[in-house]
Amino acid sequence: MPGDEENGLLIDSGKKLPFIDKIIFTREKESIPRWNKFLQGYYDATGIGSDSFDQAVQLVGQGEATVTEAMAEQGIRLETTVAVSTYYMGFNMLDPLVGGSNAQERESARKLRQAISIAVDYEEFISIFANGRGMPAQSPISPGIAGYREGKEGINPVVYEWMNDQPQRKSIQVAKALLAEAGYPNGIDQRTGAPLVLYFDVTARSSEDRSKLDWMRKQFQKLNIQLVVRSTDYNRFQDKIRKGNAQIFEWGWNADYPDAENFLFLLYGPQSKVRNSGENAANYDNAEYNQLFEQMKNMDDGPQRQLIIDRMVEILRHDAPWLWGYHPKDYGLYHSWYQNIKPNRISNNNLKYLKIDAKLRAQKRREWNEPVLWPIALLLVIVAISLFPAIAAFRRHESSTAVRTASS
Amino acid sequence: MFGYIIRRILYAIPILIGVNLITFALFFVVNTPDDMARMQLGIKYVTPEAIEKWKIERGYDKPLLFNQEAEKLGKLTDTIFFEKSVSMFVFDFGRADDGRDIALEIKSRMLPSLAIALPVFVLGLIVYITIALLMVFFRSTYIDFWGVVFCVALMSISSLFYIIAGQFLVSKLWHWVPISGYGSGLDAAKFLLLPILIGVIGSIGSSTRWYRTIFLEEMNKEYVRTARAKGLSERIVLFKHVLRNAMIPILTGAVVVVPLLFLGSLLVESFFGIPGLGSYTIDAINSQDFAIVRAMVFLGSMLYIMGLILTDISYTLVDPRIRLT
Repeated sequence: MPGDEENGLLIDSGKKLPFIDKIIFTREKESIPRWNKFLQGYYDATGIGSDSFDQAVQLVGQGEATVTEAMAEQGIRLETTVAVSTYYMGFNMLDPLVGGSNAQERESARKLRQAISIAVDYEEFISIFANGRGMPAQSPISPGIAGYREGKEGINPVVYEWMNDQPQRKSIQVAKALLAEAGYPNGIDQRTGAPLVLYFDVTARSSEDRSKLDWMRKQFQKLNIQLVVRSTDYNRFQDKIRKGNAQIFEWGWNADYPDAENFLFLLYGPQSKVRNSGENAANYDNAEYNQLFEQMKNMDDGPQRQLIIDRMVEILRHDAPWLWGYHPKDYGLYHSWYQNIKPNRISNNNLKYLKIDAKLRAQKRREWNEPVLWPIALLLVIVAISLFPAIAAFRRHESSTAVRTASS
Repeated sequence: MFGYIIRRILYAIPILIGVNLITFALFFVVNTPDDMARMQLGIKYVTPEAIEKWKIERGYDKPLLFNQEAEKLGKLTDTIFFEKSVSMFVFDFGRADDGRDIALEIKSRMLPSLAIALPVFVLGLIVYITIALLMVFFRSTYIDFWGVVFCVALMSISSLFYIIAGQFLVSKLWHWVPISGYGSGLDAAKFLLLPILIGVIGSIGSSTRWYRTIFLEEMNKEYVRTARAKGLSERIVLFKHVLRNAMIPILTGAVVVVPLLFLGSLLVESFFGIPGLGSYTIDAINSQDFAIVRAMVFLGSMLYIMGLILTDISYTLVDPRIRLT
């Protein structure tokens, strides 16, 4: 692969595998001990929780992520990769309001979905809730997959414009105009005069989830749309999706294999969740898209397949059955003794290539974990000092009379 | 006393059935067998056929409590509740949803749980009672006053704080012991020191105040005045007479928890990576593994009942006036 040689990943090529004798996986449930043990050298690698992000990572130059000075001093290095995953917000296309039940309603619903696509600012979401670890999605296909297009030709023209060599989210005025065309000028249903209310089904639990939901309400509020959050447990959420009772929902997908088909099938009609218990949770069904999918799915990668994928993506962007959301970036920290790392989420058979410098690890562990003994001495002094008046008081107490006389 | 114990054991049977029924109802109100299957089979590509197969393999394809299609007694016995519950009364806990033998898991995880809980219990009792007695000894002095203030302050701090602060100071800053983990044999000692210390310190506030109250109550009784009138020193009065007479309320609180020590502590085990029964239970709840949840609830209830019986027996040991009939 390009870049492998520059990154020193081919140094051991041709050597006998594996490079390590034993691998111990430990399940550390809590993030704080996991992070501290990594810093002490007891774990070779770790991900970065949002609590530790600022301690571990800093942005330099053009927003390039690198480890902080403290981490660099320990020889810790950062590896980042855009995951072949996507987090999206889906519309249930069987819902009359966001999906439409006749041609006119469907057209109105499409404009509504497009307006929401512009209003929900995923750049801001990534910055606030993911510490910048993600890239806004332009389609369901994640970067690194054949079929994904970069640069100007890869942007979603419904949501973005190409300005100053980068995609620029369209203004909220464009979204408002689309909303008015959909029949909801300023968020008011022009047929009934009632405010537009949409329902968002989630499985929120934590306080961070609550902040995300508040943020999401604000995004809809830009269009004067009231977003009602229906939070439930994951079992009930899945049940709603299976039965088509959700209106708007949030979900994600990790690719099983690196092929555009594994993303595009999520919107293939016969994969409908409600009709066929498939993986198309939005129940999106477009005849042209379905036919192109069938044509594309068994083709080898190449210009012909790319053309078909381009057309499929174009249909999807126009219909906007999802807010395309974002592709998360995986950040991993690795100690200096841990080598031959090429992080990815799909290939799980790479343990044989990993290399550990066990001597260096043992040496660093010793250096970093030298016991600090002065607190023990301090503790003993404090105990002795506090015991002295107690013992004195005890003696006084033992030798005192029950009733003190006036003369004493 | 033997008859009393047998009677209490017999009383325990309907209680255990009731507990089992409540656990069953609560669990299946939230999780259907289909949900359980989905959780085990994964989120992707789960077909209705795969779910049905999973349920049949694990006996979750039957009605929950009442089988309309079965005949006579089968209406009650050919159900998930009956089939999953009866076996537990002969301590056959069956297999977890991932196929592991639950009894074997409990057996192997009991020791790590006990390795923390037992020292915390014994050391805790000694420390709390000693401090409480000292506070009573120095009652109405600045030592007692500041002792109570200190206890209230300790009580007001969350146990999570003790864990995080303990790990930060003792393990991260001073490197005395590892932050978390578990080893076999004597190797486990270095991992256990900190959780035991935190376990003891975490309850100093509430327990010491509780024992202090008990001792102060005893101090106002007439036998204490008599002991003092006899010319006994305050030390002898406290440690020999008051402590012995305060044993009944102490035993009420202490003995009942002895059997529950086996079940471990959810928070401590989770933060210190101890592979005990506490973390086993919480993992089972998170993964909707009903087989483990019901086994642990059954075991917990049984041990609690056992604790109550032991408490009653212990009363007879410390107070010769009490007879169990």
